[in-house]
Amino acid sequence: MKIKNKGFWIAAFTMPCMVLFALVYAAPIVTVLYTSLCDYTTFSPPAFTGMKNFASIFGDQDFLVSIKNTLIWVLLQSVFHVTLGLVMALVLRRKPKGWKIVRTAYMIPNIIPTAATGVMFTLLLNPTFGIVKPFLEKIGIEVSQTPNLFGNSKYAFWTVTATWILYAGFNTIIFLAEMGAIDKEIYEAARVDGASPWQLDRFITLPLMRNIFGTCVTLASVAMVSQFDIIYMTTKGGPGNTTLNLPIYLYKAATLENNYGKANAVGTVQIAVGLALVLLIQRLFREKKEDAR
Amino acid sequence: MRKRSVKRLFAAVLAGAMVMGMAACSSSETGEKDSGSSGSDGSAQTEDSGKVVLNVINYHVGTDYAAEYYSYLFEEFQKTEEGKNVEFNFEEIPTTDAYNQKIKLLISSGDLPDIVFNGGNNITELAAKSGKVADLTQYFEEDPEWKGLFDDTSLEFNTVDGKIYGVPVSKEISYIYYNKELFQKAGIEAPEIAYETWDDFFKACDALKKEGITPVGMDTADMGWLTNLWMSALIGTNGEAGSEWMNTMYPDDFNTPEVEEAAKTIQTMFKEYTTDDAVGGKYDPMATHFFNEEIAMIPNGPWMIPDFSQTEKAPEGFYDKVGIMLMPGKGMEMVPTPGDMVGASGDEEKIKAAVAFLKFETSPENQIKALEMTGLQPVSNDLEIPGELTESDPLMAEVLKIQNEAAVTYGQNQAYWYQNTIDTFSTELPELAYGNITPEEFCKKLTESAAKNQE
Amino acid sequence: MKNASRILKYLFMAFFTFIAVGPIVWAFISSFKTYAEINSSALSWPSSFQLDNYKAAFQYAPIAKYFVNSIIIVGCSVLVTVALVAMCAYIVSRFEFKMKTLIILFISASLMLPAQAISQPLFMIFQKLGIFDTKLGLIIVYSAMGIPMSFFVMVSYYKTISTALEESAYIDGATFLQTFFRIILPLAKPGLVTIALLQFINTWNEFYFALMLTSGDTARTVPIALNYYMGTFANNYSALFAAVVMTVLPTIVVFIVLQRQVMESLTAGAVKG
Repeated sequence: MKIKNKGFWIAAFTMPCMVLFALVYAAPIVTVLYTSLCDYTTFSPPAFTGMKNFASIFGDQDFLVSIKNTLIWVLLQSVFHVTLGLVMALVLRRKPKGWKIVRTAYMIPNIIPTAATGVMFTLLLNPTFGIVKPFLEKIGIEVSQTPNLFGNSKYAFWTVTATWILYAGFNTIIFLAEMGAIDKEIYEAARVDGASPWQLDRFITLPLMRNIFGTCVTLASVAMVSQFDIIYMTTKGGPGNTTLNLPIYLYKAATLENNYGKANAVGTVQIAVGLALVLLIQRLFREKKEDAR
Repeated sequence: MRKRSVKRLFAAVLAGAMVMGMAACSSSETGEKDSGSSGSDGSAQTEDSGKVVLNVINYHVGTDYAAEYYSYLFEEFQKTEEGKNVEFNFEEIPTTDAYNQKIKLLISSGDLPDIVFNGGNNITELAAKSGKVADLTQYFEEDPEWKGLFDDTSLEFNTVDGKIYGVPVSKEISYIYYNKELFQKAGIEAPEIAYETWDDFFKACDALKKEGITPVGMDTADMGWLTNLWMSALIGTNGEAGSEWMNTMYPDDFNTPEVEEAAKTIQTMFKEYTTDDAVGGKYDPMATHFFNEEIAMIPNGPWMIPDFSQTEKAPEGFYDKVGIMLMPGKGMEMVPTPGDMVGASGDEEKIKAAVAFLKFETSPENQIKALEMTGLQPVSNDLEIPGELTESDPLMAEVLKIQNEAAVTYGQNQAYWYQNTIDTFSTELPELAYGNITPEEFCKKLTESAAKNQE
Repeated sequence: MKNASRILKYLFMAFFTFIAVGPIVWAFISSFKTYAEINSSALSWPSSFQLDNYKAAFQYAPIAKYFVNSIIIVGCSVLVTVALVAMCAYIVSRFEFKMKTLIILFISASLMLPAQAISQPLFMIFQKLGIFDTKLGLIIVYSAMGIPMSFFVMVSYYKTISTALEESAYIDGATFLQTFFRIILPLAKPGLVTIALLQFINTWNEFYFALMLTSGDTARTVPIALNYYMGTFANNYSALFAAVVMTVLPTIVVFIVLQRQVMESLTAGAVKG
């Protein structure tokens, strides 16, 4: 493309965004990276100590577990949630009866404040008076003791994982917008050639979704790397360390141990993990895209 | 050519933003006053109206148990001689959790308000070490009558490096509430003061259990308050060594015979004597179990008494079914509370006014008022309790009486342990309860957690 | 076969609608319960449907004021984010330039920054700039917070728009601005509405900065009001749920209006080539 003053427009269009962004994020990002190398607590200013904080966290079993949990959640989230969102978008794309209601309904869990959602989950899954007991009775499973879904380390990880299904609708919105951008004529032509609805999705819609699928996977992964609220409201990382992830570990280092240096070392690891994932996912989807063409 | 200049401009802006950020960071170390925090608007008012404006961050708001009492206190203070020239500039922060987060942010990056309420969380020590709260020692020395209201333990608890920073406003005590009717149903009689031994206590539990009554209320979430009280009692009543350990600030060795033994008993209590939802449970459902007469005993302090007669929470007439006893072996948890502090604003007048408020808050009359309105126990030892209380609130009167019978007193973990160790306690309890770790392993985790504070 | 797949489709939709609407319906029912009822049975019906808890919700917290604040702050942040990202993402999706990788890396890294670490420097910067405890301060933070996600979605959306239209526009002598505003933006409308929705969702529940960067009622938002119902030994979950219902319902209306917009743009999107 030949554009007059191209350099000027590049600057003029990116600058406002980046200035605002830098205003909020530049100082924190520098602070985090630098103070991760410092002795730094709630009441004392940062003093350089080198890799001490990193040595301390990598020597901590709980930290390693929190990395492991974070990565498992990233994997589960990017595979299941994004796929779920895609399937839902494929269903809604054809505008079946009631699709408008469904599409709006989906967003509701996202606007309920997490404080309330947390209370709701703990009450609903309470083993004495929650829904677990009547549910098991209904489907005819007899247990001597009602499973304590958040309290027992056997179930806690999967229970927390399951709570995120409420937010699956998030990806659907993104997919729907992208699907709306596909030229309707392509579908028409294929239909004239006798393609079934399934074939339309398989050979037209899905291939065009590759790019946005990659974006959704990126966003889902990043969201999982920094996932905090629901875990904090329900299990706080317990029982033991079964639901501990990086943000919860970081929170504990900062608020409970008052050790900001250590917390920021965790933050640095969190950034590194996140960036690695972003780059990895981008490469993964970029290659596929190029293969296809 | 143009391209390059654009790039340079871009880099300059980015770098500029970063430098600005860095400068803002480092300024916190050098000039503490210029970054005037929440009340920079307040100081302007001081000059033109001749009034002293005190910045206060108040967490006793919303459904807080003491919300009503504190709004009364602020209003009354302004009617006194010392308070008539004082104006308050409030910031409300509901919940202690949110309050503590904000205070910690102010300790590390800003200035504290003039009156710093104490939300626990070892705030006293953090604030004192940051130098952002005023040393109150001289004010205590200047007013012996005021100082005489507090015993040594209470003041020591609020002392950091030999200087008094906090003014304790109450004492925290706790013991056991039991349901008289359920005891009757099980054919057992509750002791007048306390069970002699824990064996007697568990015999009673067995008797209750035989009648299909769940004996005790326990929890693990939200720091495991109830379980903490049981555990503190088990340790604190276990001989001299136990009581000494349980009265120690910041214990770092949990693998002592007393603590391990207590952990073992706690494990048994989870398995045998409490509800299914105790593990992972919070305080509220447990309290409701007690109100609904589904459990026979629950440990807690006097602030629970008003709930017994609230029909919103408990059935009509429940108040009369509740009895009080001390922990087995006449043990009672008693800790001085972390006291309210005064921000080191550098403005003598403000500090004086803030101290005047704290004096007002701890006056004998207001200690009684607090007792009546919130159940907070007076920090002073020999206050005259008005006779009407026996009539209007017999349970509260009994609390005041029974605490003198305690043979041994001890602390509890939320007052004495490191913050992160309390959290470890709360997250490892379920593992202990389900037998995934042994009591020894449980204690070892606590020891390791405490050690993190020495790093 | 066709019927089976249709039934499957509706079951799928029904299931997801159920788990999506379930919580708010449950919160609505629970908002009429007493303390005792809420803490002793999750599925029971409330004993009466009086409005006491709704009155309590107003009594404890300045919820109406906080709701208005929320609308203003979140609304402005949506506009700012969408406007800035619409421009920035377009450039990144179309052109190659040296700073591009740096921009992407910076934006990605910021996504992972813990809130705690951001709050301290921000607290001081905001006081220096005099925007501490103002709506403007929160609007700036929220707009910035929304940039990364909107940016990724928008870059990807712009890539679906064929460059052929722009090429011919330039050949016809259109300027950069004309091309952007007359050709690109109309085509990007569904993408823009989508990021507006996402931004709305993401900032509506933000609690931490709303608390740390304010000190009074002028700029506090709904999530903070909800804390008024929680206290040690004194939670009022019923009032909490009443407040949730009162704030979520109007929000859903806003949503429906926005979504109608999406749909219109979806049907208009066919021009693309």
